[in-house]
Amino acid sequence: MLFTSFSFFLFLTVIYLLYWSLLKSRKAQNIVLLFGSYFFYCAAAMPQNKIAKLLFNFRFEEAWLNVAKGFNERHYHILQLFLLLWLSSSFAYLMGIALGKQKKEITRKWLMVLSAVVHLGVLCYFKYFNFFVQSFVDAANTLGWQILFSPEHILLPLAISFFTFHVLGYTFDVYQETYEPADDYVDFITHVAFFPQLVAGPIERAGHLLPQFTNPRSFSWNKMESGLSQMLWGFFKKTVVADSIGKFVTYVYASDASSGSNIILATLAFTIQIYCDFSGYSDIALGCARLLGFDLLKNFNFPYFATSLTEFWRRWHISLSSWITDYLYMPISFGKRSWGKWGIVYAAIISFTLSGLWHGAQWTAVIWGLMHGIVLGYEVLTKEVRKKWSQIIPHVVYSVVSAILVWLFWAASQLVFRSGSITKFQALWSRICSESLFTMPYFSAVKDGLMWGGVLFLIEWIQRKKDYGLDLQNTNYMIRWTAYATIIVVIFSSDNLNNQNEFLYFQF
Amino acid sequence: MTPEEVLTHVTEIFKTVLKKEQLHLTPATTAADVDGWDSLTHVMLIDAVENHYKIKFKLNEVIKFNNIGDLCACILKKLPA
Repeated sequence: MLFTSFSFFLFLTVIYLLYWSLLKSRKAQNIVLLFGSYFFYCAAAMPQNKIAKLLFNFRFEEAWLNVAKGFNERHYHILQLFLLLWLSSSFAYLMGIALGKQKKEITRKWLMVLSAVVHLGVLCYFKYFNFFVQSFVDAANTLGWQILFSPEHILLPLAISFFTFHVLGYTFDVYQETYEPADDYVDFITHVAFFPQLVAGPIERAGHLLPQFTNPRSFSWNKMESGLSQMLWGFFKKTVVADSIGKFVTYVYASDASSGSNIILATLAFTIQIYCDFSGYSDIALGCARLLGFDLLKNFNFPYFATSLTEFWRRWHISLSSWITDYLYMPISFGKRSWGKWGIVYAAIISFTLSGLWHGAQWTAVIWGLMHGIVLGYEVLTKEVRKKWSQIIPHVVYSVVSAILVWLFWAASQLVFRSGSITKFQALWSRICSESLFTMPYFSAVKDGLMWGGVLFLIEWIQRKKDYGLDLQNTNYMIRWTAYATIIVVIFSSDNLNNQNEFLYFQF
Repeated sequence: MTPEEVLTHVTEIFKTVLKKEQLHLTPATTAADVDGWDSLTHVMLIDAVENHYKIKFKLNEVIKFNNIGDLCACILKKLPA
């Protein structure tokens, strides 16, 4: 069930009406959110046509026959998904209680280690088992050992990277005594499964989200308008910009005949696609949560206006980069603090390489992370020199040139990441280095997406001090509603509305 | 050593590490109030404070520092009476 699908619109309407009709009982509201979230999670694993059939063309006799036939592989997969989410959050809840009760430091440490091993073990099995074994077998075969390996058929559970980091963050916080263990089981498992943030973040912190589940909520028209307008902005980014560009990018990267110039154009266009896709998803998630009276963590803060890679990572996927900073970078750099700046460089490289691995079980993702770690390390070492340059060069020139350089580096790293395998990257790179680099690329194939991307960045530049592009709540009534109406018309005029594409971050 | 003396020393350490001649710290000062005090320089500041006082912090202690006051209180706790 995609955020951009009609079935999600129906689902949200039912949940919304039921939820606010139970305003007097916080617990009943949480129960609605819990069952709604589990339904959403299971439905997210079903194909769109199955959900549509379930909603609009349900036949009792047919359903009964299917039940009588027994579970098929897809049913087992959905059951497995549900159990995994439920068991993962229940285990984190129990470990939180145990950590809270235990006073002996050594026992607390072992409980934390056990929790990390279980959560990361599950993640590693589903996401990395084939990757690690295949890499080992490849390395062994290179040494002449002749090992045969057929990859296991393991389906990657939806959102596993997101909810694993969510519950691990909670466990670390309770262990470090920066957050009290949750006492209400239903509140806890509901806050983990809360559907707006479940599938692709933001990766929430218990300290931020859980108190919102334990406190009563109040309905406000302002919040409703703000939530709907942020969702609208997200739909615009995803449907009008990301999906328009996505077709061209997919075609160029898949074809063996793409010219070097088209690969360069597709890579630059992909930076716009991935931003609009993922930040669009986050806008819909934040807006959707606000409709229900919740504030999720801000996940994007106009990252393409950053003037250094360090600043970029404070603006891009903020919930993941702050997670990495708190639970990976800080412990590593603290352990190596006697190394001075080199300790920070070391911590940045290790943290970002692991962050790359989080993004995908493939070597291109690891290299992507390593590239970012190295450049972040370079920025640590050259901080003072760059500060001097910024004082000599006029501010506007320095900022614009720096932002372009950051964007070009980001695009280069995305070329590695998007290629998906070393072999594919080599093939793409050889075409970039060929004469075909000097042929005219197919601008016409991507002109609509780029034009709307330009409009989007112009609006975001004007709105850069606000929370999101369509944050117009303090503006004149007429301007505000004209803007909303225009965006709605543009979305409904888009050809992509009927061809829904998955969000790119679903694969993580 | 008094809390005021610790605050004076810590201010001098921050000035050296952050390369700032003008810096006024109070117990309520947080990282958000000081330009250049970020996750990158934070560990360098901690290391400089440790070297100055010949003390060692634990990660659990450092994570709980919300402001300069917390840092100074932890230093005072670790110094011999």
